[in-house]
Amino acid sequence: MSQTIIKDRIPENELLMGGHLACPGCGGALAMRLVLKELGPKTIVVLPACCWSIIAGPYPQSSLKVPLYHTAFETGAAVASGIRAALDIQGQHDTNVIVWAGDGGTFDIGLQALSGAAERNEDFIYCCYDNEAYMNTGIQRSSATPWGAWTTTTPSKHPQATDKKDILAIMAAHRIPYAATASVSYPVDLVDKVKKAMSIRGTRFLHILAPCPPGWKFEDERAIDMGRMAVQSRVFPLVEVEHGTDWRFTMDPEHVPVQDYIRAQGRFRHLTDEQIGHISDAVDYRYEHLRDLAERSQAKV
Amino acid sequence: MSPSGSPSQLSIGVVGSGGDGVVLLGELLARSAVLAGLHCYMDKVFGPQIRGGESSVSLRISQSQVLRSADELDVLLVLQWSDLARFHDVLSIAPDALVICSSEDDGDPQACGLPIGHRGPLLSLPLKQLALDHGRSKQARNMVLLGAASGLLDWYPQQLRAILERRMQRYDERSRENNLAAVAAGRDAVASWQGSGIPALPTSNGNADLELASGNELLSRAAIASGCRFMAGYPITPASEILEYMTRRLPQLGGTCIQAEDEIAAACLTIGAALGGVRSMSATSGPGMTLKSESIALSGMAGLPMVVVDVQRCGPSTGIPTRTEQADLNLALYGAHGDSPRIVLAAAHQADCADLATQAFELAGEASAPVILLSEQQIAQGLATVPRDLVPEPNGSVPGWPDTAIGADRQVQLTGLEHDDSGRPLSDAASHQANSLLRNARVNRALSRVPALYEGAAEGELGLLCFGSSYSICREAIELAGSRGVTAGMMCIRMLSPLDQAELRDWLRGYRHVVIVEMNYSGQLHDYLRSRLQLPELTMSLRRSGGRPWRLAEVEDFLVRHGLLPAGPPELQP
Repeated sequence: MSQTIIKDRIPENELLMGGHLACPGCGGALAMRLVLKELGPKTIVVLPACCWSIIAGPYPQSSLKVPLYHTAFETGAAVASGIRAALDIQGQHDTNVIVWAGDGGTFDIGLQALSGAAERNEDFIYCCYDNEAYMNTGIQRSSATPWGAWTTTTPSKHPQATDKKDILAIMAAHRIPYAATASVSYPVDLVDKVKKAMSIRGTRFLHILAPCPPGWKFEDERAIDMGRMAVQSRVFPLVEVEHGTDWRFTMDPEHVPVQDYIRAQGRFRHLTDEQIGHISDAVDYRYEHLRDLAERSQAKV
Repeated sequence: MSPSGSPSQLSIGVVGSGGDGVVLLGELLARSAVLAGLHCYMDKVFGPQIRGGESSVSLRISQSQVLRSADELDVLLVLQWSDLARFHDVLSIAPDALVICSSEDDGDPQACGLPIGHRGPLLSLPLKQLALDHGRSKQARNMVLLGAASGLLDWYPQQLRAILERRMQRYDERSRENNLAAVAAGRDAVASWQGSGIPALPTSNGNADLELASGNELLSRAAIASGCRFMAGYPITPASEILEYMTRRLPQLGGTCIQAEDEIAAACLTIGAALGGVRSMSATSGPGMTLKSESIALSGMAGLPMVVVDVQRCGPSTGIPTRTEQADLNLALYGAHGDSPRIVLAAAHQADCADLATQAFELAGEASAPVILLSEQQIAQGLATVPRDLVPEPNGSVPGWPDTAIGADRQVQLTGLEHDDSGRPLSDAASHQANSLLRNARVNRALSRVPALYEGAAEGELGLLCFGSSYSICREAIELAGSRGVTAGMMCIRMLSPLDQAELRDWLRGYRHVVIVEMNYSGQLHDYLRSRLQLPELTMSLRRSGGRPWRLAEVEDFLVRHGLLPAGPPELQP
């Protein structure tokens, strides 16, 4: 994709300023920057405890140029529902309300509030930036941690023994109008999904993979590379689903072996080739399943 | 100064960014001093980020036991000046301190917190260049700085070499060589330095049986030694190290550690395990403690033993997660609905974490009630020297909680509803009254089982009363008072509920003035004691919010201001 097209398709305005407190190479910081570019300044961000509780920065160094509400860990979707109701009562229907939560605040402790809000079809965009563990408290596993990964609570002697929770399928099962996966390594696809989400009312869910150099153990400068390989290896396919039934791949780039993605990260260093084969089989299985869903959705149209 | 001419103690601060290896540098210095037979205390203070944020340690080595870091640093090692700026409230630098920093750093030392009148030696070295040239990576800057500092101070050379070798066993051969080359480069860079003002090191008095450990580690080890074989937790600073330790250790002993999906689940997993007859615990900090409140009340109502550790941090809400405070006392004492009696213990220092963890399991089992063990960031993450044999290794016997065990051969009915002694639900007022009395009586059986810590004179002018980590500052304050001719003593309450009022009344009678010392804004201990017993008229409250450990100067100022301590040292006798 040429430079010109990216420049034309990603808004130039910046709502995340320099001097934020993310680690070098943080996918979560880039994700926020891209999403806010599309949402624009008329946006309220609800932030349950996560890395971003820190990244935004203390006064007077706050790096975000939009209103930000730091809330308790388990309450992102509930607070956003309240804010939406208050704005609607006042006729401010055009102000975006987003929840910006990590994987812990979404897959684990925040799932109950998210499910409740999705069931009510609350009118907000819920963004989960997923770095696949509790990074801010020092790299403990979450239910978004992939099988086989090392964390401080899944040491390499007994690494993560269960598969990553399929949060997209969970959200699709709530029949919300729009849910999608996205990656900071495919910025145009990401921004297009934000744009599409903005054109829809009701609960919209974006699951953004956010590579984390200190947590995944790779060099800072390889964050984009890592996100790209996650998609190319089909570990993290880029899809969207409307009303829980209409599935579609939005990108299907050239395939690279799962091995390349896994071997590039220190958190998988202890895995044998055979174990990586197991990951590869699981990835293929899920990819086939998604392709079936997408083909069936296509046939309906 | 000790008679030999060497000082009795020395304090060193290290600051840099997270990922710079500040903690490693501090630990290598600390562990080699401990190996040389000295006592040691090391505070770790982090910025809130994992990496790229600021990070500091404050290390104090001494010939006798120390339980807090020093008021002022004698030596400051700086990887980056801008990181010092974030710790201006935590690290106070002596005017004649030895400072070693980087010549490649364009930060302004004075603007970042070096005292304006600093007159000690200041060495700046090309840390990054030396790291690249000799350690093959700029990451080795901490090793260059270690070499420079240990060279200048002549830091226990034999012990440092041993500690380095032990540490380097974790690395591959190349990293090992690079790191050792970086240390040597730092040492060489200062070898020809001719300046004066290098502080002397305390000489060892040969304590061979000491080890350096954090409160979280000691608490975890003691829990295991007390038969705990199940832990459930949820990541939260500054309690996560307990979960991480148990994750590694419990499976080796046939136990189980579960990282739950949230704090409520962690609490209820613990209750479930107790119901199965296994000694179990959960550990958290303030926000998690709030979420566990309902389960704590359930454990009390159902009559199940439950051990919950609350490692306090600055609150309310997310507060300052990486900084210390003593403000969850009210939550521990009262945090639940209904009349919900519980046992509340508070650890005074690192070794006390081990002692109280042991007692917590005994008392929970005996009372069939919740036990809340309060710790604090400062104790939990800070390192102190403790006797090597403080916590016994787990032996074969694993005591359970048999009275609670439910099983195929044993029908036990337990409920959160009001119930009779067979667990059958009841709903009349008279039974509710009778059972409320029973629940209180169960907890009250623990009365006086965990005695307070006493120091100094049992009678005198001044008595200091405290709980938790304020113990260490009170202990130094009464020594200071003694040195100025004021007879003083102290009491540190370790069991806050049930409260031994008789013991307190006895102690209070011994002093003309009493000051209650605690690190929270509202005076939670003061208010609690006042609600339970008649405090003497001359009782005062010394309190402030957390965020940093106490300094002796703060307590001294308070006592002098209130006429309880003469200002300055008494006149020297001819």
